[in-house]
Amino acid sequence: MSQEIIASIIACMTGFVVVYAVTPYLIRSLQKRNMTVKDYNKKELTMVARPGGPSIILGIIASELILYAFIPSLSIIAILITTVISFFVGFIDDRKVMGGWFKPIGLVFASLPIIFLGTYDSSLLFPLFGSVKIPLLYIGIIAIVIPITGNTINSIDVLNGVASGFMTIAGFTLTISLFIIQNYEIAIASLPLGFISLAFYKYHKIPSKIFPGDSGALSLGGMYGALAITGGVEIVAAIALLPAVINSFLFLSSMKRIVEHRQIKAKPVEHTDDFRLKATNEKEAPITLVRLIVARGPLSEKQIGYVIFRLAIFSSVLAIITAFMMRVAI
Amino acid sequence: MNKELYIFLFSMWILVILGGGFLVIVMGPLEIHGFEIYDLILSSIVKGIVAISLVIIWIIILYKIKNWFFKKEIKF
Repeated sequence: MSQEIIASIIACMTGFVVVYAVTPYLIRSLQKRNMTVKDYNKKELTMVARPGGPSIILGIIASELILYAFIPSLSIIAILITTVISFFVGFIDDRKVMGGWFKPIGLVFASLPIIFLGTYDSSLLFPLFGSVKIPLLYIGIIAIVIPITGNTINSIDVLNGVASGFMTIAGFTLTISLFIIQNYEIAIASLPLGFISLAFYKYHKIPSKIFPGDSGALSLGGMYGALAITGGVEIVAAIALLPAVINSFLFLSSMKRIVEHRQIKAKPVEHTDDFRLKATNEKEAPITLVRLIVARGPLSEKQIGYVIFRLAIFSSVLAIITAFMMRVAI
Repeated sequence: MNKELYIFLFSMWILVILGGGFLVIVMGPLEIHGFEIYDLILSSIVKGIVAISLVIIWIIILYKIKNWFFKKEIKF
């Protein structure tokens, strides 16, 4: 056990330090190459480097390889390969704008390492009621979980610091839940996710110096989904992501189809004179979490971010309660 | 609006717990016999249909709750 603790500490520190140290260089490199995008929520013209995925994936690779050196588990390899494929799917979309279906289909391929390496348990565990064995159906679930978690995190990346802050909260919640259900190996493998997200948050929080982009968001989301599957905490992981799930659900139920954000003409929110955000009355605009948050009155970008973090903490508490309920059977 | 969001979140959580219970009670003991080598595949197909039906019902319930909570806030 002491070897696992040492491995965990080294892996987490490595992941954190790599992202913390590499991201400033990445920012300068992206700015030199004019790979910047406009931050539309700032009064002054502000160009922000994008994407931050390369530093995030470097941190993930470094931390998980260190873990693998101490704990040579096939699950860690499956998590790592799934995350790397998710990164590349996002990176392609960062460099060349693809259609709305590209990311979901690409992320289905990201789920293949978990299936082929067999690093999953086909029993789906539910709180209070026990588990149900679904051997063939579970393979279908694996194929859709990675696209769902990847795109869910990508869709919550709407304001400065939200995606990385949200993943910090959800990542640590997943770790705590894995410890509660006594899956120590995957709990240790999940720890770097929270630390890497925290390191990136330092540069992503308002005012952002870098945006994660699709490569960053899909890396974080892909790793989260892989941890949920290999750790057997699919339900807990889904509950911790509920605010982001609500955002995706609201968007899809109002648009009634999968579209890229760039294809949306009607805006769900707009700026006031003092650049706070307020909800529009456009019937064609998608309903989003941000639109609901500002429905009663305009808020600043920072205030909206903190509302989302409070929702994330609330759903994290529900997720941890759910993890305890997994150990109880009616 | 924040209060409604927390209630909506909590409702989703309750639906997940109850839906999971229904799945375990209904799908858990579900087994198909008499088709020899096709027993497992048929059983999986039936379980898949039950699961997808439950997800559709879950989405419809959430859609109704969403309209009930948020329609007066955002006119859609």
